[in-house]
Amino acid sequence: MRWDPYHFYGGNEFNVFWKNHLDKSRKPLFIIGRGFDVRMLSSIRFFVELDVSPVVWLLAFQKRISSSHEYNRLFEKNLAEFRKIVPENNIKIFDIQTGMADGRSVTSRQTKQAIESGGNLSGFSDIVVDISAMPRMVALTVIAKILFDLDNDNEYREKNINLHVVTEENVSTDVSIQEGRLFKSLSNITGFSGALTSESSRKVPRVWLPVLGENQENRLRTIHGYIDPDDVCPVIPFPSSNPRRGDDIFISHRKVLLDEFGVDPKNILRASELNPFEGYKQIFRAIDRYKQSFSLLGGCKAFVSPMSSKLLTLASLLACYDHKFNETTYVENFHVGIPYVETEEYTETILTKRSSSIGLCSMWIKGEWENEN
Amino acid sequence: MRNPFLLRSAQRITNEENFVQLFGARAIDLVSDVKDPFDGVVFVRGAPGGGKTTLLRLLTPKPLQMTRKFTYLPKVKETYDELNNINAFHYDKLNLMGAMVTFTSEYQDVGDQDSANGQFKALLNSRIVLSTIRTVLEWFDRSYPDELGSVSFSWEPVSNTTIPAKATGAELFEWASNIEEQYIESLDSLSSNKKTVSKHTRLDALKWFSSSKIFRNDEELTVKRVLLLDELQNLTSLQRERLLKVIVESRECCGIWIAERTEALDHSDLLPSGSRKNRDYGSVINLEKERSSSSFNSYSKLLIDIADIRVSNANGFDGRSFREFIDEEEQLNGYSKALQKFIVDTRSKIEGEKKIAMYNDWVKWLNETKTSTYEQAINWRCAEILLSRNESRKQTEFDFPLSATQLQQQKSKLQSIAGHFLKTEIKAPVYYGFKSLAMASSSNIDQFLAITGEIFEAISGKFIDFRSNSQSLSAFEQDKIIRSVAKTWWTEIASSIPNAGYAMNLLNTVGQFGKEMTFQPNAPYINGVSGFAILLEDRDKLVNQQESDKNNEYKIIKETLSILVANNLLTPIPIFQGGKQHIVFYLNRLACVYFKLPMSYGGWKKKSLKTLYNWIVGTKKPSAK
Repeated sequence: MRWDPYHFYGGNEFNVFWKNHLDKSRKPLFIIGRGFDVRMLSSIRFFVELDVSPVVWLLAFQKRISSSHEYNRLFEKNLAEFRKIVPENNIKIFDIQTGMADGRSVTSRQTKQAIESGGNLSGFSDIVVDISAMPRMVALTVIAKILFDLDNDNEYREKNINLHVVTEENVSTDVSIQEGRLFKSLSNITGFSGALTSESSRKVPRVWLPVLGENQENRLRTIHGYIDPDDVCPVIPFPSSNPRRGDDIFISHRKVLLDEFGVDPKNILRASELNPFEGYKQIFRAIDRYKQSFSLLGGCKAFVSPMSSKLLTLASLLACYDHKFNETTYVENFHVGIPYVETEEYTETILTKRSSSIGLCSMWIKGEWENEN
Repeated sequence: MRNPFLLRSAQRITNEENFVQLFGARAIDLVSDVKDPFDGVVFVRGAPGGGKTTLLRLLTPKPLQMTRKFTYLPKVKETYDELNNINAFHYDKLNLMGAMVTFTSEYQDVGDQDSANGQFKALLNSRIVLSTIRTVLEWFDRSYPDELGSVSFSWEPVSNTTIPAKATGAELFEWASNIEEQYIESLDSLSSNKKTVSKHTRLDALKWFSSSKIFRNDEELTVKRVLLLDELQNLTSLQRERLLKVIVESRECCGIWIAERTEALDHSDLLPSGSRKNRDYGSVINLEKERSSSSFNSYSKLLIDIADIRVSNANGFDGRSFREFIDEEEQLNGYSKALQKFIVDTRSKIEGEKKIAMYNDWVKWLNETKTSTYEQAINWRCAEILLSRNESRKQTEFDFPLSATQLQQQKSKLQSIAGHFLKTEIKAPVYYGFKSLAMASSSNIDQFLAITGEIFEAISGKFIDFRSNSQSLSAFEQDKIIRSVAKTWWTEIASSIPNAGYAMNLLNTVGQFGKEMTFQPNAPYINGVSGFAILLEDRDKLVNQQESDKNNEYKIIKETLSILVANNLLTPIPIFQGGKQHIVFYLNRLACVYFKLPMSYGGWKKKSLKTLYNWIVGTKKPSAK
């Protein structure tokens, strides 16, 4: 497994790690999402206080809320604060279209194109992606795209550029942000279609691991309808900051999971919400068991749909990435995908729900540590 | 116990035996009116959950074979007979092979970088070929993809074609899957600039599908072929237009069935003109429309079959029927006090009228009639309505006494609405019995299953043990469940349709307006009001592109109506009245439950485009005027 051992820094370790890591020789690039979320500025404020002069790529994704005074106020406030913190010359803004007029989501493809249009990354020693204020599809695409490029581009490999993901984890805010109207069609993280629509591999069995969060009935039904899985393994967060959260989530989805999908309760998996690398290992192993078993029967397709917190979402990506691109564990006719149904229009409730966060945490995904191990 | 009603969509049931039994019943009925269903283009349209995929899937080999195999089951026998009538079987042998191709949203992604449409053609060619190979193996009961080599295909391609003239199933599979993989990889690549160049200039797979000779061990397969294209709404409008043009112009000698959500249609299709002229190039089966226009009994039978088959599939319910678990009648025994009070109150109200002399005969008849308390209460409620009608008339100079016969004659017409008023007033159950369940589904199977799923949940809760006689669900319990489903359904509309703000404004206003109009003391609409109408000339203004480009109000009205019609939240019905053609838009029947309205169709009021616009943007409250 690629991320075992791992480098995860939460709480006070976050401060210690970054104070030691960001010396004067470093040339970091920060990628953050522009939005109304108060978490947008948390990490950049911290890094500026470390006396770093940050180069920032600001991903300006399309607004997905009906015109609202409160939304605009928060949005403008964040932007004004941001411009105070980061010098104008250091900011590069990328517009990302999320939906088309025909009601189709194009977020992942547009995000990939935005990152490509940013140009060469070899001038940076560290790329820090702050996913706190990014929608799930944007965050996962940015990480997957940059990780893929750093893995495969010879110039980047020689320079051994570091990739870090940072976030301010706040489960209740993430939960409330998922409220709203969904896109009607399924989309996937670019690179992770899992050959879902392939006619030639139509008969290959499909396994679906929905990583559950609160209030996901409609999203679950839509994704299930598209995947039509042969087996479903719901993933619930455990351990979690609220020890009952996993149970509560499962109970609230009892009808859709047990009655509609016919899920066998023995299939329920638990993945750590507090540490994405532990969550990654749990999801990776679950997929691996299917991968190995079905390899004797002509392969399978595994789909992971992250609907939970930021850290578990990252865990899902790492597990899928490792399965897809790790040549040492290659199995013929195995496909892995990350299908998801995005929120097309959020409700205004997201603006009013706030709660205390568990603070900033940092995941070192690629770079110098790989040579040390 | 798993609730069989929550098993919604046909696509999710992979077992063909279950599929035929659960979904087959009467699904094919709607095809019987189509002329040459397997020798031309047939459009199958409907809202999500209407049963489009079910209909298409029934025409693929396995479900057809299973239908033939299970003819000893009465429900499946009916499906078999219907299929036999449309020549899917010939002398009891299967005579039809449907190959299904489902359009996915990646075609739209292909379209974004494919102005020449070459990539679209290449991907579709490959998928038609792959689906046909799979279908042929299914027909011969061979394993896919293990026995690809057991079949072969040959055809006479025109020049520059891309599909091999002669090839085994394995060779064709390789050819087509290479193309498909190339596209999937290109769309799904994390690396930069991975684009695919298409050499496909034509949609050859259409001709190949209709004309290729198919062999297995030198035995030629000679059956009717039908290409089943599902989910056409997943194409861009340009792709859809081009594909339909190719299909129509190519005039292939096979059936081509195209299933699409009504949302794929343009405004002029969604807002009907009332003329019988068919704008399409083939036959059209509009599922919700056909069901609402066919006799209610026929639709009701379809739902009975669906419900019965599902109940009999539930653990412990073997051989039972759905209707035996729900009460059809409500004696209102628990409401005798409320009914008595109602009678006393109404009597004193009528007796306190200034012109009581006019109604003496009525009061005498009402007091002397010996019948159940409920019947008596209905009689009094009818009298109250008629009294209100008389009082509201201006011409009251001649206050001749009114005879009891007059009251009795009017009563039969008013009984239904008086019953609705009375039950609503004393808070007795209104929505119960199978007819109400069927009405509340608004011609949509998924909506029916959503309601009956909750009903079944309550039924199974009463099932103490499998040997005991179960209790049926009372009218009160049914009414409570249907209202609760309507409430949940209503709150979910906003999160399931675009421009929900405008759409909800309109639905809300129409519902409130319906309530105001229906519950007037003189009950001027005996079926209640659950819709509004616009004049045909106003409809023409809306769908006229130039007019709506100039007038933003028209644009907003047009788009809002189209969204609501496409999602089966409004049902448009052309009606000729008062020398003018109108388009009446009726509320979804579950919305009638939400607004406590009667579920029968009938009452509507004409509205101007200006009023409609005000309703949509929420600047004007409904008014009975």
